[in-house]
Amino acid sequence: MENPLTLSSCQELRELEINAFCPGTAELDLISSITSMNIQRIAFTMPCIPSRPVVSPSNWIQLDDSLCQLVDRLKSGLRLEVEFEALGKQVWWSGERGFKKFLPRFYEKSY
Amino acid sequence: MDLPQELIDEIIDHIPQNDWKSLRSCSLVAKSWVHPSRRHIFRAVDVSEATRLKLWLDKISPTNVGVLQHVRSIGCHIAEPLDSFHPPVDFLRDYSPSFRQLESLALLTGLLPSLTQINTYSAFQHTLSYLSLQCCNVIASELITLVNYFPNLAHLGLFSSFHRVDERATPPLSRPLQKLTILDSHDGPGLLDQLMGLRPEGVTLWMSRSSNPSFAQHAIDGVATSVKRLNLEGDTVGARNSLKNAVARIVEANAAILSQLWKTL
Repeated sequence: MENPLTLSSCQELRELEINAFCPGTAELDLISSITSMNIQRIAFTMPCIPSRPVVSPSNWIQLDDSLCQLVDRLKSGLRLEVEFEALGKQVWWSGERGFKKFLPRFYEKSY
Repeated sequence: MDLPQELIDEIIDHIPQNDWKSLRSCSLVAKSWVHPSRRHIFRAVDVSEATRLKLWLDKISPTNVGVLQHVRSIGCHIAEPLDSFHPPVDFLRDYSPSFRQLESLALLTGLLPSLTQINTYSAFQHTLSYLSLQCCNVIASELITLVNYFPNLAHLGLFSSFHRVDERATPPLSRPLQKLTILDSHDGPGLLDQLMGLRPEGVTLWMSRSSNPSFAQHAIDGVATSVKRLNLEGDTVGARNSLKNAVARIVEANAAILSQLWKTL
């Protein structure tokens, strides 16, 4: 088993864009590894528009936890934007409505 | 009827970029229509196939500045010699002096354009903003010399490129590179040193399944001190399991629908 990719060395990272068919364990582990206190945008860009969020319930919980940790570590005055995009457009579960349902703790901290 | 030149330019600007037939027809209307039509016709030149390159060499003289001054983007991804012509080296040597507005240059080449002949590129020294090198053996000192030579070069792409050992001292970089794209390149530790030297603020990594799994981590660690925007594409994240996981997640997400469908059959 190869070692998962980590971003712990990127202390100045502000924007991360991950092109993935659907965010899974490897992508979520990558998010968890971010240590930058400047991160202001994380975007998942998908090559096609899925009809429903192709993220398993346990992965939503992990993502919610990781995003909350990032928000807590952010330098004051900064805000973290999270986007799910397909073909250049935000998918329906992205934004306030979707985050309220799928990322409730991150929603509370950010909106 | 004599239309003001601004109006003619505006009309031709509205023709779709890929509508060559209309653009060619426009260029034959009147003298005042030639320049704006050529600006679109010759904006992007791709001589990546032998037939296209041959056609280009037959039709366009290297001294035809009237046409070549409009070229903004060139792609030359052809390695095999054409008779005694060795693209892309000969193509650049002959045509470079007339590319006065070149902004984007994409080459398939074994070695970086010779630095001893770098003045060959003086025609587009101040306009080039994107340089892409495919299947290239690169060394840090040459990469940095190139970045320094083109003061407006913002984006460097290394596609399937390899590190070449060189003992020459690395010159100081005049400014950080805005964006570096690496696609399926190899030799992690060697390229790592070069990436650190370029101090890119934006990095795109595109790794395929056949890439060395540790290369992406080497590359990220190599640019860690400078990178602010990171874009991970292809199989860079979770390379080995991505397809398997994707299929599993689609099946999982659609299990209820499949089950319902099964019952109705």
